[in-house]
Amino acid sequence: MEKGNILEIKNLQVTFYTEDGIVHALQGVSYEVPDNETLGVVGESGCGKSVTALTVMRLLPKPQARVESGEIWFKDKETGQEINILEQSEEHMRHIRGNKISMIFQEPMTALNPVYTVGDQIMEAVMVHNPGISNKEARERAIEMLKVVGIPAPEKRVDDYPHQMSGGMRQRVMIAMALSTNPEILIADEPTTALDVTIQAQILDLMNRLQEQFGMSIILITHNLGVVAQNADRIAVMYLGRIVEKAAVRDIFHNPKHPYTEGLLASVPRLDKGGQKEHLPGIMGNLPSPYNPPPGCKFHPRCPYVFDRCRVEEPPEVEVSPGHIVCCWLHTKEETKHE
Amino acid sequence: MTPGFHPEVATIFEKTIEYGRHLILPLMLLVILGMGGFVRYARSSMLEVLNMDYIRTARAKGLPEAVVVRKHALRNALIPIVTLLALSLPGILGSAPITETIFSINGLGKLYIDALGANDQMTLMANLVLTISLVIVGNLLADILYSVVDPRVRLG
Repeated sequence: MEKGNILEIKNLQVTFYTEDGIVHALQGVSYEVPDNETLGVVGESGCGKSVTALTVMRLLPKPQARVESGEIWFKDKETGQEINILEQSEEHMRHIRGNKISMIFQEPMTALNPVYTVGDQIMEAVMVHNPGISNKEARERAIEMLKVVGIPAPEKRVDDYPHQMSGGMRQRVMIAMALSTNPEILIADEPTTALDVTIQAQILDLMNRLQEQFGMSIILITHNLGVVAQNADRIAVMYLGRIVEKAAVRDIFHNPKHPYTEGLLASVPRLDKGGQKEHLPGIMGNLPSPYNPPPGCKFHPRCPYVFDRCRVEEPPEVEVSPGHIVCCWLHTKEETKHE
Repeated sequence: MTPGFHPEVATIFEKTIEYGRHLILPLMLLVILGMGGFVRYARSSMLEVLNMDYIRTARAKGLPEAVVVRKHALRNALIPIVTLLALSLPGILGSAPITETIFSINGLGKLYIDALGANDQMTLMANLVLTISLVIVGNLLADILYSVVDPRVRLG
């Protein structure tokens, strides 16, 4: 593992064997999560953002999903050990899940169990990772965490059931639960997608504040470019099961190299540029069927710069500038563009 | 009755065994008949719950699979089953006439059939009132149990 990284995913390949056919959900995904920083993972629905996160947690649905190859290295700050998550026993994995690596999900409405109080559910997370702790201490910890995430009157709210809370509050509870064990990595899988914009901003602010307070890395999965622009340090752009571009936030927004990233950025409506009636460019074509992906570069059927090589050969990862990696034939060293 | 068994002189122990022996078949019939539906219902309810988001949350917390299933899944899967169970209370009397006639047990069901044949209106009426009461009690029980297992319907 490189110094300064807490998590490194290397060439991860995951395949789903479904009744309708075989889906190669991840085809060699690699990314790194730096210590105490936020990595934004963007891409449209079905590109494998969540599958990558679930693989890190080892929570892929069994037996349909299979990890074909790859490594996920995690550095345990407490012991200084580097471990490959994919090789851990289920028992050791339980010690990591929710303790070293926590995850929050998209739908705060359904992600909490409706028949237990929020306090119960936070206490459960605390107690399973601190076997010696008493009920009372766990309850105090739950109240303290509710206070940290900004829930008013936490002493009372701790005994509320999820249905007595609003969507934003439930997402706060999810965050409280995820952070109650002081994890080193927080995976946030579209944490604000189901919330309205003002609550969205509050939740993202809260996550940023807690990152400073607790000192952890965040993997922020989203399809909202605005969200990552403000909150991420580095960005990985995914398309159909692979990373097409990864770079620092500034490079992605000011100097996008991959045609897909360019298209994504162009299709974001902007308040500062152009009149209200200006045409908003989209990416042409549709997302190909995951059962039958195109050969060569996965993006070539929709790419405005497509040429012959894209249709047959998959582009390699190229480092165009330090820390800026692109998978595109346009940027490979041997210029094959103008044949 | 088993040859050599005399109820007048038999001890309580002997009586229990004797009656118990004759209860095996009718009980099996009633239990298997009633269980089938419930088991299927419980299975589908459990499978549905295991796909819910909060089960994934529970797993992501690092809980052992046994706790995930027994604590988080079971409690939710029980909600529809509890209702069904309480509502099936009148079935105790409903299915008894056939079973009791087949095994010639002198129970409430047999009494009902005999009363029907003898045109004994008062006995029939009493039996019907009993069945109806069970329907009402079953419904009340279902409502109460429902609010016990599901906090979302709790009153006040």
